[in-house]
Order: sequence, then C-alpha cells, then structure tokens
Amino acid sequence: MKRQGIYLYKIVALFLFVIGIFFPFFIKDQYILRIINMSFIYIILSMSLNLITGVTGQFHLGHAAFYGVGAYTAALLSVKLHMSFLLSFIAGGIGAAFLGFLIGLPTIRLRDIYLTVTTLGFGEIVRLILLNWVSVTRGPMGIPGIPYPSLFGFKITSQIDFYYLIFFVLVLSVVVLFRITYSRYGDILRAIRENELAAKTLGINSTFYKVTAFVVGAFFAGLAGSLFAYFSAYISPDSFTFAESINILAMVVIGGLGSMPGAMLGAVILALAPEGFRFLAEYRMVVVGLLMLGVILWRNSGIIGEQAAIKFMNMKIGGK
Amino acid sequence: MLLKGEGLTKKFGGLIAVDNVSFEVKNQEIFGLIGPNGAGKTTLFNLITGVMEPTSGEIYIEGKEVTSLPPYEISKMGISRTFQEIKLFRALNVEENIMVGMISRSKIGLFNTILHSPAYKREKERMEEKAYEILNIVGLTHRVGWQAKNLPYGEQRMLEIGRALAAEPKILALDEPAAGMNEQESDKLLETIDYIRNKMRITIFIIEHDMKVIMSICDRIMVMDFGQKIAEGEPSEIQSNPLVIEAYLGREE
Repeated sequence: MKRQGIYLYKIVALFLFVIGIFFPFFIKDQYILRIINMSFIYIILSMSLNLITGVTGQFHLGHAAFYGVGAYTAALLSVKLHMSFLLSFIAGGIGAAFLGFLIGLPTIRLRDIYLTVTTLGFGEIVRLILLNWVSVTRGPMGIPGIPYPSLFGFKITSQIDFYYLIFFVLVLSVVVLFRITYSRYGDILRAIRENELAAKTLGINSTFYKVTAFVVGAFFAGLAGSLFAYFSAYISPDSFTFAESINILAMVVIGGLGSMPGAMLGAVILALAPEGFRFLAEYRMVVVGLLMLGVILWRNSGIIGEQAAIKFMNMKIGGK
Repeated sequence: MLLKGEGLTKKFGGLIAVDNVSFEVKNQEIFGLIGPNGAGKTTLFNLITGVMEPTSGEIYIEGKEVTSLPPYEISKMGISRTFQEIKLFRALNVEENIMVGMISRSKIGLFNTILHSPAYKREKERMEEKAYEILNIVGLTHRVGWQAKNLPYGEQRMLEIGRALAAEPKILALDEPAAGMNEQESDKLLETIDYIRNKMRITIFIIEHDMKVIMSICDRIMVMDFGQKIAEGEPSEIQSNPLVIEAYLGREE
C-alpha cells in the first residue's frame, strides 16, 4: 500500500522556506517589502478563515472582527499598559480566540444562511464598538503611536526586521494549520461539513469541533491583527470593515475552499493584484473583480481546489 | 437485554409516526423490523439512535436509560447506524470515511495533532491498519483512495456499514441496506451481515423491504403498520400471521 520516496510537498515547502529566508537579501526595495509583509498577514488571515469556512463548512462573514480584536488588543495593551511585545502579541490572539468562543457557542447551532447572517452581524457589532467606544478605542481617530516591537532586547524597526518577524509567525501558522487540516482531526472537521448528522451518529460531538474550529481560526486571525497593529503603528476601525471580511473570504474562494495551498495562493494574488494594477488607477478593483469572476466561472473549486491539494499532499517522488 | 424500547411514541403535530411501541433486542440476535411504507420504521430508528427525541417512552441500552441523549452519546453507548438515504462523507475518501467512524473511540486530540506527538503517530498507524481490516470485511479494499461519492451505489451502502462498524458498536442498526442493490451485491451483504453477527458478535437490528433478505437472516421480526406494532415473532410465524398479511396485501372487503 505504501510507496517509498519523499513527499513532493515537503520539497516544495522547503524550497519556499529557503526563498522566504533569503528574499530580503536580494529585494531591498522598501515598497515591495511592505507589500510582501502585508501579503504574509493576509495569508495568515485567509488560512485561518479557510479552517472555519473551507474545511469545517461554517460560512463566516465576520472574520475582520477577529482580525480587528487581535489588533486592538495588542495595540491597547502596548500603548496604554506598556506591556511587552511578546505578551501583547499573544494576547491579541487569545483575545480574538476568546471572542471566537463566545460567538461560536450561540451561533454554531445555526445553520447555513442563518449562521452566515449572524456572523455578518457580529462583524458589524465589533466594528461599531471599535468606532463608538471612544474612551477606550478613541473611535474613528484610531490608535496611533504603537511602539516598535522589541524581542529579547532586539528592536524591530525596519521593513526587513518586520519581514522576518511576520515570516516567522507565518511559518508557525502554516505548520499548525497544516497539521490540523491534513490529519485525522481535519477529517473530523470535513466530515462535519459533509454530513453533520452522520458524524453525530458516529459519536462525534459536532458542536465541540465547530466551536474549536472557530476558536483556532479566530486565534490566528487575532495574531494577524497583532502583527498588523505593530507593523502599521496605527490602527483604526477602517481596517476591519465588512469589505475586509469579504476580501479575506474572496482569497479563500479564489484559492479553493478547504484547500490550504489554495488559501495561501489566493491571499497572495488578492494582496498583490491591487498593487500590480495600480497603473489602472481607480479601475484596478474592476480587474480584481473580473479575476474573481473568471476563477468562479472556469474553476469553481478554486485555483488549487481541495481535492487537487489533497492529491498534491500525497504525491511522492523517488522510490517507485 | 441489550436494547429495550418501552412505550415509544413520536408525534409530528397531529400525526403519530410511532405509537406506543415496545420491543426488546437480545444480545447477538438479528432482529428485523418490517412494515409497509410510512409505517414508522425509520422514525423508530431515529428515536433509538438519538436523532429524534421521543414524545414519550423510554429507551434502555444494557439496562441504562438513554432516552433523549444526543446521538453522539448514544453512539458511545454502543449503537451505530446506517441510513436509508446514504449519508456518506462524500468528499472524503473510502478509508477516511472509516477512520472518522473510529474517532470517538480514539485518542485524537487537537494538541496531539498539532504537536505530532509519538502517541498521535501510534494512534494514526493503528487507525490506518484497522481501517484496512474493516474495508476487508465489507469488501472494499480495492477502493482505497477513492472518494466516497465516486463509488457505485451498492458499494456506498457497504461503506456506510463499514463506517458504522468502525465506531465499535454493540448494536448495528441497518436501515434498508439492500435497497438499490443487485442480486450479487445483496448476496455479499448477507454474507457480511452473517460475518458481523457470528464472527464479530455484534447484534443487528435491521429494517428491510427485501423479504428474501429479512426472512433468511432474522432470528425474530417485529412488524409495524401505521406507527403501531402489529406483530412480533420468528420468520415462520410472521409469514403466516393474518395481521401481517393484511397490512401488506390490504383487507378483503
């Protein structure tokens, strides 16, 4: 049954990792690095939403809320309470995860469109709280002056410093989410998506797993928010709108619902496309829209669909 | 007594789908449930597997009351089922379907999964081996790697049986397993049911329309009509029971 050889995906992953490590050695342009940094943050966001929506099948339209809560938690802790970077960074993830748990419990019993509309409402509630709770969040003025992060006495200030910080968190997120998605645990989540009743009659407490998917997804979205807060040094509710939730969802759908490599590729495409088409000025979002339309029409399981990704995971080279 | 239902009733608004039905399933027997369409057989299955809550009545597994427990708790108490309308995890492949069935009795946790601990790896290998054994029992080893939705209909039914077995039940509840099967497939089904009862020593509770299947394998049969239990006994008794004949053929005026 088992074939000898090395998994192809491991080679590809190693290759990408090495490129990632050496990338700033060759590309020193601040503008490009900034875009790459932002696209890495989007990769974390789209992978985390993929766990909830793609793998577990919970159509979630409020992911920007987890992203925002992570960002505000980290920003407020470091600006107002002067907490260290590492603590407030992790607190951003935990804050979002806690919110994911609170939201998960009542909404997870809802199905399909009811769940979707509820998560949409939840996203708006979080945005409105950020906007109107002026005494804490400063409302529309946002939070400026988020200090440079420092880790073990090393201060992270330049785009290259940030690149390595974000890259490190990205790699960590990829490993954790990859292990969850492509494992027996991921099978449970997919089984719940495919037929929840059947899963229940096999002894699976589907509510528990759905809430877990929400909590884990929210945690990583929160970490992405933390990174974003430190990276941009200023945050405001404008960054965590419904449009942003849709943007993240579009990344997952274009890449391939349920496919982690797809979610990563979708994030890169949608994060880079607006920059690449900048010469088109205000028409550039039209091009992005057409791109999305094209993928949905001609490849409705996404550029790297779930099954394509699973096939790729099982591919081996060498041996026979 | 392995499974006992007492005065089970299920009402949907004004309709009484199951009306005061009591029954007992003994250890290691094959207990059949027959009746015309709409007699309430599948609803009774839904009650004993926790998919629906009874309006009144109680259910006991090995003397412990399980009435109104959620399906995943009842599964852990020892009942696994298949569905009349196949409910496979369609996008998952054959062996993954089986392994999901094993999950509730395995030690697969989130942290073990993330850390790839030695316990996780051992568990993963054990599950893969056991999945292969189960696929062998239901005759699907040649379909390893196939997505469930691409299997022929009869094999989908066999896969559902395998998935239910993976949860290590004491009672296997089969809801019309032979429906849509050809002669050859239903022979294989009978062989498999025989193996499950005699070699794996699992009790079987089966709903089936195919009289050849039901009469040849059941130790005892219960007959339902319009939600009520109208007869119970050995196959030979059931075949000659006037109430049963009337229910199936209609009354002569």
